[in-house]
Amino acid sequence: MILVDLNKPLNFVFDGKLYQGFEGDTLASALLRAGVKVVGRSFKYHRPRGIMGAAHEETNALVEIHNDGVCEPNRRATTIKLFEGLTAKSQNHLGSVNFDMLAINDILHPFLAAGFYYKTFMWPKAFWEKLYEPIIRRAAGLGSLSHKADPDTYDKGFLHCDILVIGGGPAGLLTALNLGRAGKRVILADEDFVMGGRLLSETYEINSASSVNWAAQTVAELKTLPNVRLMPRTSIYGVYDHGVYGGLETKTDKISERGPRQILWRVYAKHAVLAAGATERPIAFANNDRPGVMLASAIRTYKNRFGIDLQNTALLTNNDNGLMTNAEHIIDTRNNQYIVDVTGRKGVRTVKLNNGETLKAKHIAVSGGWNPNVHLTCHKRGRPIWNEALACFMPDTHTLPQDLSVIGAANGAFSTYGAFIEANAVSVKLGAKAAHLPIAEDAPINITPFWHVKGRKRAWVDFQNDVTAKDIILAHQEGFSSVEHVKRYTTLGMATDQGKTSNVVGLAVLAEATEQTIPQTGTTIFRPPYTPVPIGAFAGAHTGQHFHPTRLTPSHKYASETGAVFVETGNWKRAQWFARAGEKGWRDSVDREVLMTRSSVGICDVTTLGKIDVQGRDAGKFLNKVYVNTFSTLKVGKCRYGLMLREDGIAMDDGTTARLSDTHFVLTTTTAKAGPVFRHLEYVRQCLYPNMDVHLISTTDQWAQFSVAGPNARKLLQKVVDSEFDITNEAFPYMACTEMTVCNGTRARLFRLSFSGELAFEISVPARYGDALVRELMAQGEEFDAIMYGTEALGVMRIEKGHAAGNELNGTTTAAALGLGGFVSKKKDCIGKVLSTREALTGENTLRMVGVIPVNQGDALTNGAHFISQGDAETAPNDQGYMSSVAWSPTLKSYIGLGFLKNGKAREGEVIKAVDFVRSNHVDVKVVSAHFVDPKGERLRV
Amino acid sequence: MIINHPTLGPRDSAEFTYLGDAALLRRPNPKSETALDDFYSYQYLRDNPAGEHRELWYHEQGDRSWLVVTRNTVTHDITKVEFARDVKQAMIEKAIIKRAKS
Amino acid sequence: MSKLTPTLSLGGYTREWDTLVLKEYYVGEMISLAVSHGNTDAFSETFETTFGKAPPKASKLVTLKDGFAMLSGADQYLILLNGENINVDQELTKLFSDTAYATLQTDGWASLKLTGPQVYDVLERFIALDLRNASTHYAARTMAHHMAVIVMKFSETEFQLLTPRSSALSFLEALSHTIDNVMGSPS
Repeated sequence: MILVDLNKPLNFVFDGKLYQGFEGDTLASALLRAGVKVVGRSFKYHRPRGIMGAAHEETNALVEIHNDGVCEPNRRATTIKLFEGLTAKSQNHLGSVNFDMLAINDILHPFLAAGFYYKTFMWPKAFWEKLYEPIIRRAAGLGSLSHKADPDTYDKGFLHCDILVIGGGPAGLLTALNLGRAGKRVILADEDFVMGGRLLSETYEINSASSVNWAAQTVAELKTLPNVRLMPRTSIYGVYDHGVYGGLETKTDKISERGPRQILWRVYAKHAVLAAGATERPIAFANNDRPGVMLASAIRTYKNRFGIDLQNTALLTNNDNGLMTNAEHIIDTRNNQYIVDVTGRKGVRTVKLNNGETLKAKHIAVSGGWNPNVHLTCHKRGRPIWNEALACFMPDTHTLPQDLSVIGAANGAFSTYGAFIEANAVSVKLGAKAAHLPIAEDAPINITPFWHVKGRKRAWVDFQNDVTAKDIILAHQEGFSSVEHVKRYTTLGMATDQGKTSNVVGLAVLAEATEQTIPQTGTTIFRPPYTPVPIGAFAGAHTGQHFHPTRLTPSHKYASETGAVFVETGNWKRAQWFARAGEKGWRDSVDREVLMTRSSVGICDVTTLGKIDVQGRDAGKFLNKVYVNTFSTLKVGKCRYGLMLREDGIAMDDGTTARLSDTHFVLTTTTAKAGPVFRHLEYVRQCLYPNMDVHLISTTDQWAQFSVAGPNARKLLQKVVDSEFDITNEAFPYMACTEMTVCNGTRARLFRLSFSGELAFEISVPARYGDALVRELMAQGEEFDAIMYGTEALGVMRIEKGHAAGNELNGTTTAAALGLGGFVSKKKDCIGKVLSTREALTGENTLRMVGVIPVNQGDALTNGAHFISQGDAETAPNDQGYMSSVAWSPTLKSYIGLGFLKNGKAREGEVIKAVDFVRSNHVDVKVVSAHFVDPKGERLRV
Repeated sequence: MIINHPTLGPRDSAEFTYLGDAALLRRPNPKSETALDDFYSYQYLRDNPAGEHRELWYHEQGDRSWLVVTRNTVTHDITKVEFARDVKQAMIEKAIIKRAKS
Repeated sequence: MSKLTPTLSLGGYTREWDTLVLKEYYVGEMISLAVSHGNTDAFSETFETTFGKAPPKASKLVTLKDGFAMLSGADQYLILLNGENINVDQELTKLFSDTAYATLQTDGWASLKLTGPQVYDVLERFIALDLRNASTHYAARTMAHHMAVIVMKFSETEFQLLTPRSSALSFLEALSHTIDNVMGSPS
């Protein structure tokens, strides 16, 4: 019963010519019906090739689909569901597919055997880069790329079920039916767009009616069961740990169609049943790759499912299954008959037999036996075992995961009846009732292995990579005799079909050459994906702007309205500077922001810095464990700077912590380290001190926080802080903190902290008021010419002040290097304390943070430059340290830098060299205190 | 990979971050005379077995609990999942009993 | 000086795809309550007195007099209460005295409601948990598109999703895009 609707024609274009197919066709079946013989050129030898299979095992008919200027290469014509307007092209030819100029490769074949590139293109040496490599690059690969962005979208999803049935042939269908009827949550997945598997391609009868009817009826009943999910056009491509499976569902082959083209599913299944069927393999003989030489099962598929009668067929078979094919001539190897040559470069013309006979034929149906599709059983280290009687690899039940069962042809049960028996058995094992066994054929395969015809002419084993039997024998002759070596030396099985039709034949040829059995020869391992998965499907929606989530600060809208240029800091978008009309570049803006803040008042959104709420009776004790200095002694209403070490003694992060009550601290981190520090604190809390009463929760997003800095900072804040709160210097000194209200009763917190070195505060409100607060501050700040400043100005000011930041806390520096050696409490242990005392990290000649300023005021400094003492050669052994932060200081009208210098503390005043080989910038600099502006800290304390 | 959280049930490993060998739970005594050597071993030396491995995972995108997962590094089978603080608690109690006896 | 007006995380977003509706939805306030070490029983008593129910168990919402509660960490609860009251955490601190520690969380989260017969078709493209099989009032904290999400099931056709405020726009884009994929673009 054919599954093509002859009342629904579909127009398509192949290689520039218009053809007609029908609804239900694949591109391959439509081309065959139209009499197209040559559909591509082989990879290496550029030999004309025709369609040889009917599904994913296809090796020759690799085409490009074109739409909208975009090209999708290397698609199997046998798996493309025909649609109206499909435009496809054949691949791998210079000129037309029928007149390929690169066919000269076929004539040069003696020089192009396996591994030829290891032995050629060596002389002259100069020719490699200029001639050989470009030629090889042009010749390599099959399809072409349009170099356009992929216009399609992809999606991802997650499915849960009791049983995942992989394969919708007779075994899979009956299993799904049994389990579905028993109320189990079942997913039934099949790569094809119609369920039924082999039943759709043979003329089997089930219960005295066409097997196609049985498949359709079963699918109809499955559709009525709410606990069953049918997934056609879905390839289960990978088996992962703990019952996780990867599936790729194809919605359409049309490029640029609306909606996701493919969906990548992660399936969580308690149990999986692999009913993936089997794939027929060919026999290798001279010129067996000619257009018209096809798998016998494919010829039957095209006849029974697609209604295409391929006449003048000779059948070559070593088993009974092949005999089901309609053929004018039968060549049975079991009767000592075989093919020794085939003529007809663009399509089979004659077939020469070993008994001297020459037959006229247009097609050769080849049946060398069937390979159970065991691939998924290997994804978790399973190794298939050889079955002598069936001459195929079977899944090894001993290495199968407990939650994976294999049934039907995938388990060597090649008949329909055999499939049903195994389906019932596994259904019972999984808690369902066995169905009444349908009446179906139970023919044995009766195979006598026959792998290849020996001879002088090339006999193809791997059609896609153009690997012949001779290549395999050559590999062995050259010492590459293990199956893993043969694979890589010849590229057998390494094409996009993963050797579905070539692996076993190749193994057999190798076994013979090495005089071993097939089990002794072994097999290479299969890894996911079973069929190709586009990288776009793995990306899903995470492309372009959506590659990672974007975090926005509470003032983002206001900043966008007022000229902010944003920078990405991890996932955050932070204002880098605020551009004003007339400013020529970022330096104009940044210099202005620094000068205005230091002379009047500037406001900066510092919400992104991590805020962690630390509460509990033992909160102070806990902080003592993670910080080098003491926090249990911090008074309520005060803040303190803290430095955190890693357990290996290296500085991890720093911040200020405020104490709001006896049991309540608010700890801050740098923006980048908010996540890692929280993770670290929970680790210390749960894994090291589970008996402490201390609790953590992130409040980074909860509180909008703004730095208000500059000589007029207090005056500005006094306009928003509610009058009952006294923020004069006497009542609210440097490092004080308090809860309060602003703007007539809005809850707020105020911290007197300064990163800039100016008189400064950080004001914090619940984020719902963040936008309103920043607008109010700027409105009230108009009388002071208040400005917003961004991360660049923030950076310039902290460098002018000599505050360490991410560049200095770079994962290699210690507390001592940062000039904070004395800050580490001697009275208590903390994370990192012991290892920080290691000899290599302490002592006189270790790095110490210093400031540097160019000797010639006009000279520019570059970050990353290394320090060399005057008179020393500029070589690595003379390395004295490196520059870690650089800024143009509008305050000092000079470049300034922070860096790490060996024994830096004792070298103030010395002139050294800052050498930058990358940007060719060598500058004389003077070592100075890192605190360039207001070193005594007087401005902070007014 | 799936981690069967003790109270939340099975969760995809994507919700977790991995730290390393659960030997990290045995933080050495910083006051000991051999503290420097002890901490060096603690920080850098690992058994790295091919087989059963007890390791620390953090449920970052879940309940932020630290877990001790017993996982076979060869087969990837997970046989046990415990709260790290329970494991640490048991260690502390054992040490107290040991000290009391000596 | 003027009073400050609050801003919604998602500007009051609302959109319909046929019978599927996604909209920003605020209850009132959210508070984290961490149980003081060694005071579990006293805490449970106070919880019951204050909210009218025993503290929830893992993965299940408990309906309170004025809202809901869920277990958010091994020794931590997330309380969702109706009505605006920005100082509610301070009030709870007083009520629970030394048995628990309260932290305001409302502003750290954006809240969305997804309703309609197609909720599962959408959510299976978004969240890895087995929501179809979950009971009513299932509540879990997990992730979606690399962002944290707290998902709460109110019925077969009603879900509430909470996500951190700073990435809420990205979350909304991801979710509405997912709905477009499943339902086609909105009417």
